[in-house]
Amino acid sequence: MKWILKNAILHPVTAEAFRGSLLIDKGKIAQINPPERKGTQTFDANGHHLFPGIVEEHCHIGTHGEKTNQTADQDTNEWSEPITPEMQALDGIKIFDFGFRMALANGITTLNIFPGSGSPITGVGVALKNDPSLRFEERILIKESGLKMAFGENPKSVHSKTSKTIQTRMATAALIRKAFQDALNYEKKKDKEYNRRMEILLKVLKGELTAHVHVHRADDIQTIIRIADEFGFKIHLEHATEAHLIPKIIVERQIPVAVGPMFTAKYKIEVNNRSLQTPAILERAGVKDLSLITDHPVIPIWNLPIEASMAVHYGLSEDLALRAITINPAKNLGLDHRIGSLEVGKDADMILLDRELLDPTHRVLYVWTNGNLSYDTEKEGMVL
Amino acid sequence: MLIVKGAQIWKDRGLKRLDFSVEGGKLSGFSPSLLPGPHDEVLNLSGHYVYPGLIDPHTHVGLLEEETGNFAGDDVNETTSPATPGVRAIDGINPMDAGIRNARNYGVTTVCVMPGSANVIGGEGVVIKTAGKSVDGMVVSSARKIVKMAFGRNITWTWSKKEKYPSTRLAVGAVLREKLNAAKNYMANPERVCTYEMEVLANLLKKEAIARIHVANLEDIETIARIAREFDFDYVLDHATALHTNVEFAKTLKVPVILGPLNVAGKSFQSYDVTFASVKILLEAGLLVSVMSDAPVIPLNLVRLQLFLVDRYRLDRSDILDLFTENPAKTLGIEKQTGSLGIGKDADFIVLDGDIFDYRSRIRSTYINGNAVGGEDYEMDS
Repeated sequence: MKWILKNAILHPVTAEAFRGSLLIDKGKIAQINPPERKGTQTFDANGHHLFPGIVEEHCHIGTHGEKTNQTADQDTNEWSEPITPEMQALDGIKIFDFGFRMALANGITTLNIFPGSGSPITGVGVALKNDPSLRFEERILIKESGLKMAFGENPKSVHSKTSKTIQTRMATAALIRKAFQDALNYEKKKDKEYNRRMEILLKVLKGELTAHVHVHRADDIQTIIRIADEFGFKIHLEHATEAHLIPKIIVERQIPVAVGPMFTAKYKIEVNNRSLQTPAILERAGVKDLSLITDHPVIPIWNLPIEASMAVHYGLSEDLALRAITINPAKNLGLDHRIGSLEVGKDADMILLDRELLDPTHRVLYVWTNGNLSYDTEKEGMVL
Repeated sequence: MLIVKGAQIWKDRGLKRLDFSVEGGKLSGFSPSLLPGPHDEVLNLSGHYVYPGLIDPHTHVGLLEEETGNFAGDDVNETTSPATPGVRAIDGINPMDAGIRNARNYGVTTVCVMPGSANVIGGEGVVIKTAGKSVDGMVVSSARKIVKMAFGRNITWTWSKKEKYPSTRLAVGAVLREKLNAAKNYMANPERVCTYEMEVLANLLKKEAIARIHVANLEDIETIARIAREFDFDYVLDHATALHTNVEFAKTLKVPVILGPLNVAGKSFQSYDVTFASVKILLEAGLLVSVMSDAPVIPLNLVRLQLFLVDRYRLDRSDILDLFTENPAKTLGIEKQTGSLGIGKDADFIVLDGDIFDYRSRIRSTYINGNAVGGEDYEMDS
């Protein structure tokens, strides 16, 4: 179906904002400022602000049950063993979890869902289009969106109790090295039986899958860089709480950094140096590949654009703040050809707001996914 | 005397261009133009905005300390007995806690600190200013005495795990009735031997103290109302997570409510009904509403975020500011001392370089009792 969205202030993110209209065709943005067409359905945006749908690069929606305290509903962390690359977040997602609606109502149209951080290697994430009109399998954008790994206090505290395999940071590093060495040995073996655990690790070693590493402290960041160098694989840093203390290392190696959640108490020693200035410091040092994450439910997903606002409050440029919740996470997931900006040829994932996205007092008015109206706040109410 | 000149100040529910003076830690005068004398200190705040210091009526800062790793400085719940009216928050507060530093640097000048919610009667709370090295010197003495209580899952979860009484909601009500009965008998006994525990509960029954009751679910709120009728004491509903789901019932209660923490997800706060919408619904129902952070659940440097999120419901902005200033002051009984800018009140105010609802504006400095004690740039330096 073709339709025109007219009279909006368009914020493409990848270009300057302008007043204009869009032609939507077959779920894609087909044309910018199309000529008036008779008979084409038209939606009047009344001069409100149109942004691309927001992209959350790191959350646990669907695996970590919303509105429940029951462990029966928690499928984020498989704690029985320290190395579980064969786990897929996809297999633990509760499709009708309220978190999806919470995300949609607040304009988050793409969700990357990772396993947790309780083990050195926890499993593979999945990227989903948050479009409730699609069947679950149709929502999958990338079935294997990255291998989740974790350093620091979480694997230590979990596996000192459960599998009793880790007491120190040294063991976390040793177990990861051993896993990748096992994978290399497996590859060399002739007449081998298929081993999914090894195959996933090999994908990382061959550059087909990126390692997304949960890490807070600067020394842990340097440990994973050391290991990645030894084996020659690509990494993205998740949380990266102390990245602002070693910005040169991040810039030199051009490692993508996903900062957040920015709004929790300093309840672990490894987050004591967390600062709301981290994004701004990284930008000043030359980091361009910055994204922001909520780690929902650690903080509610509606905070994602507010993290961008607060980063601006502390000196981040508005341009990078907007990119950090749209095109940058899209790029990190390998989806920037489809989502993350308002450009011709991209999915028509769009949100209409009464104020600018970076103003935390904005209201989301409408959300479209793949060109279809997915959320109408006036009818369905705010989820906040 | 300190003369503050040139700022837009938030007074009587609006921004006004007024100068003001501070003497002996108190606000002593307001005028469109104040002329400083030869011995007066002058602070020129042209282009700046002055608001009353923010008040958080429900926190655990200083007890549940940040930056200690898994809250190693945890003194929030005395879970050796389900009713501990004799313990006092003031005895566990570390004034050097990062949570208190956060408060003053981000505009919160007064906090109420209370024991946690693992016990039916948790102990005595205290209201303090957020600057100082000695907690005794930080106490806001005009505040009404506070007895912290709790209903619901936190208690039954804590005590059923230990396989001890009270493991159900039935027993929670029974523990409270038993203790209040004991206090009644204590008061009626002319030959009583003074105990601190009983004195605390006697204060409640004499209405010198007010009960601050942690509660989420509607059934628990009903039980509280029932027991309060039986024993005739004053109370405040803290969290009151589900109250907005029954507005007609809420209107019958006529008690102050302190909502929050609202910016939470996942295993929501013992009730699944947590929403910023509750603020609007209960304000429209005519209740005295305040908003808490429950810090460190939500750290005090993020109180302004809650203000932005409440603003999404497009309430009158005076009503929104009241949620974080005058309303908690009234609930704590300190409205004559702080919570607004007026002659004779403590000089607790914050200076911003823009409107408080503009996310780009920064808190340049925080004043408590007329002294500059913090601001966002202080945090940068530390």
